[in-house]
Amino acid sequence: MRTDTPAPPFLDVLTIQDLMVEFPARGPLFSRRTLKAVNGVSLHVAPGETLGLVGESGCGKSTLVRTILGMNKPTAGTVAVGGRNLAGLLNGRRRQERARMQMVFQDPYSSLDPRMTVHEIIAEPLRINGQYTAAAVNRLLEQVGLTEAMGGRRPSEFSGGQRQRVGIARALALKPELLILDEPVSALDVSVQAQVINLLQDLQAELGLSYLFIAHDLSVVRQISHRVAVMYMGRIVETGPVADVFNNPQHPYTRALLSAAPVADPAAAASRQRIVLRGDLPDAANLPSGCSFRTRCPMATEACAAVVPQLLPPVPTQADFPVRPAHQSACLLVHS
Amino acid sequence: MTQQLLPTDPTLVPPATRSGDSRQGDQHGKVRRRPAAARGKRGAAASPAFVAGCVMLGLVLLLAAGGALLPGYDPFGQDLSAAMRKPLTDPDHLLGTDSLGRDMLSRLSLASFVTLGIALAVVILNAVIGTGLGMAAGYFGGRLDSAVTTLADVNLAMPVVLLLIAVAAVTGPSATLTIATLGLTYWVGYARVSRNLARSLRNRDFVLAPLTQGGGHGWVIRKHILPNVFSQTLIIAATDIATIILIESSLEYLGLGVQPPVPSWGSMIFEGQKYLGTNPWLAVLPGIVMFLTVAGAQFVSQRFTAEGTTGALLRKGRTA
Repeated sequence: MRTDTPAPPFLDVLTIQDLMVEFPARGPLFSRRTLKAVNGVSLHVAPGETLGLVGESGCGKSTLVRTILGMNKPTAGTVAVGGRNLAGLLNGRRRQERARMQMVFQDPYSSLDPRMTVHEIIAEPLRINGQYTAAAVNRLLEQVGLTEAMGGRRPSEFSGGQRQRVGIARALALKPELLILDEPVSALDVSVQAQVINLLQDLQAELGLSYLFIAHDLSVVRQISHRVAVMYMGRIVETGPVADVFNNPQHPYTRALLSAAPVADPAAAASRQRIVLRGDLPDAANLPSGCSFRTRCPMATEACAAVVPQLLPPVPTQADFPVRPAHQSACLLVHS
Repeated sequence: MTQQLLPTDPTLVPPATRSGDSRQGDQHGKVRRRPAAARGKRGAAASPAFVAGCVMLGLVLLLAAGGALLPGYDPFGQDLSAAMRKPLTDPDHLLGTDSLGRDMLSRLSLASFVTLGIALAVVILNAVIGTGLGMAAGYFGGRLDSAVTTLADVNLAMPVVLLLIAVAAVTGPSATLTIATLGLTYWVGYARVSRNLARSLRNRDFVLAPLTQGGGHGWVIRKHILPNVFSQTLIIAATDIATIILIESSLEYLGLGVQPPVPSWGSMIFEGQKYLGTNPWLAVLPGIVMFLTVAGAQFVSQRFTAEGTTGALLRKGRTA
């Protein structure tokens, strides 16, 4: 496991600073509102590192990914690859830089064109960039544990796990430094999940890849990640080394999230405290004042409505269970 | 007509697009599965109607393409002494002659060639315009989408025949004018279907993937949207060509279109109707050829539409 010392920023594969993505939404009658999908997110991924990004549906994970990949325009903030801000680059150059990040999609059924053979699917990024050779495609097939002969078949002849391998091979084609994995195993059977996770870990060791691993399955995140970031309503509410966050969650939302994850040991499951959140996610176009979690937080006070909590390292004097500096959370109660 | 195709066959239109972030929660498994009966249909023997349709179309195509090779082919040569012969009475003129003694078989052959050629040109023009506009509208969405949709609606409200008559009054009737007028006005069906398909494809991950890998919109449309839309376009074209032939022949009957002495089915019927009492074959023969074409095209295309109800796109994408 990695140490918690953050790598120098210029070495990071991906650096996101204060990223803000807003969409115009329709209000009552003809009024216009702004929907804040991503609301000031900063994160970074170091070479060879896996950052797990956790959050429930609707918290802005997908928007964040789409923005990183350039499919949404950020309202504010920057996305930098290898320390280079993408916004400042010319189109062609930006594409080039962006190719250093590649995406593995969640659904292996809709991410592969049903009309194309597997060979053609993996060849596509190479063809776009004029690097196609049949040998390169075969090498990629082999790299993800498929055979050359399978290249001639269509996706419909493959199982979900094999399809996801094809998706990974396609993502590897342009020799990226970072893979963005958008819930890459949530559509798969549990037995197959393990195989794909193992493949991802092998590839990381072999190629020195960085992963931005997006998931809602906490056990998978715990297994594969070096660091975790917990997202709620477009903000990172807690981040830190995986063991720290899982063993000593600071933010009430993280605690609730972890308490909701199933535990394999019945004795442990019986003894632990289950935190049940009240209410639904707030409306992203009409966020509560102050901390956006306060409407559902079991510990919320009046102060929470007044101040937007910032992501801060722990207070040094705090408590019997020391929190390490890299383990940050955005909660007034933790810092008071 | 094209615009009727949609309501009568709603399955041609793909399920409504799921909005941005809900696309992750997928339901293709549900959509793609075909009923067992439909799945078996592909391997089943061709239906009698399909075979009959092929034979009918084959005869007409043979007539149109092969007529010029027959001995004695001369659609224009007049011989008043041999006028108004009935079919099968004169070995030199197998299908008889018209009021000017011109060989009916030759004229029918040339008329078929002319009429089918015009219809084909119209359908190709329609398909290209409609599919192009529809794909662009569905893929890019936004203002372009509204513009194309409005244009399509306006188009449906246009009285095409009146328009054609008005323009012909100024420029004089010609085949080019017919092709241009029909070709520019009957594309709405293609546009609607390809727009909806493109719209549902736009947010699929296999369309997004090349965009994240340096591919442009042109690449995506060429490699992923068009191939998936193309099969549907063919289905519409197959059902449309019969309708276009009927409309075109009505216009020819009114004298709008190719001008004498070049024959077309519609103008041959018009000329023949003067002699319905003495030699009805002059009007009946082109009528029969037209019937063979339209009915044959319907029979053949029915098979495509039956296949198309599950959607060529969805069929190919069905889960293993």
